[in-house]
Amino acid sequence: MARRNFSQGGGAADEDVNVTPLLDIVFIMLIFFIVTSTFVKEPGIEINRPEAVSAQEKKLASIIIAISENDEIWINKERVELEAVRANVEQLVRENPKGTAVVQADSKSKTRLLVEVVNQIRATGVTDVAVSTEDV
Amino acid sequence: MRKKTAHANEEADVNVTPLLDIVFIMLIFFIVTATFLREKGIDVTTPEDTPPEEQTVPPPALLLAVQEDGFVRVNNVRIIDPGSVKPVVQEFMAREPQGVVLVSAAPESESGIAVQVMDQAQDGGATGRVSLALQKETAD
Repeated sequence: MARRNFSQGGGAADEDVNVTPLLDIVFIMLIFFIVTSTFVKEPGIEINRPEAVSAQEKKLASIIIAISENDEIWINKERVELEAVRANVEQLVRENPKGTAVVQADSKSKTRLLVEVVNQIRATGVTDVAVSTEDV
Repeated sequence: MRKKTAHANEEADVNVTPLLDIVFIMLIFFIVTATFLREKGIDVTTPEDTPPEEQTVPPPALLLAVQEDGFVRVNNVRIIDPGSVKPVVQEFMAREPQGVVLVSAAPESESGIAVQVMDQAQDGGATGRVSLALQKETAD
């Protein structure tokens, strides 16, 4: 009885809902997503990664270069010639100076291309270069 | 006794509805565009970019040459399967704790084999001491 009376009284008074806790949570989520978003430019092709057991998680990977099965290089959803890799990587470094590089080489691609792409990335000054693998 | 008039006149509430609208739109934008990229990978080092050290005696090296046919030649002596590189590296690292492993891949070999050999070498205890190079075209 008493409880019902209380709730009716609250509803009838037509008071504003207190949105301050909602705002707090929304702001915290907003800040979290702003901080964690990196805007990675993905190569846009699907590759078959080699398997590895000693692979480590690569954080802050923002420079991603894919080498397809038939030895094509893809950066940011565009096909790129080997000579143009360096210029493209330099542009990505400018956009995200702290990012590391990951080469997604298909396991059927030629090693020549993998090593030359890695050397091109090194030439831009990025020291942290890794080959993308998947768990066994 | 009316509740409203008692407090509302003293300090008017700020209207936060437009703020909330904008914050929600930004929140939805960042949730939608967030890409949690999970990449796992093996670090690649190439011999050219390791700085020349001030030592006169180069460290003992294990040469693993990945051939075009997918087999691995150890120190130019014997030929093994890429899956059995790990025990060879373990044995080498036990003998030479300061040793380095050089994976020398034929240019036309599959990069999956080279990555597998590097992975096996790191798993065999040579973490951070593995580098990848290309064989000279005129080898063999």
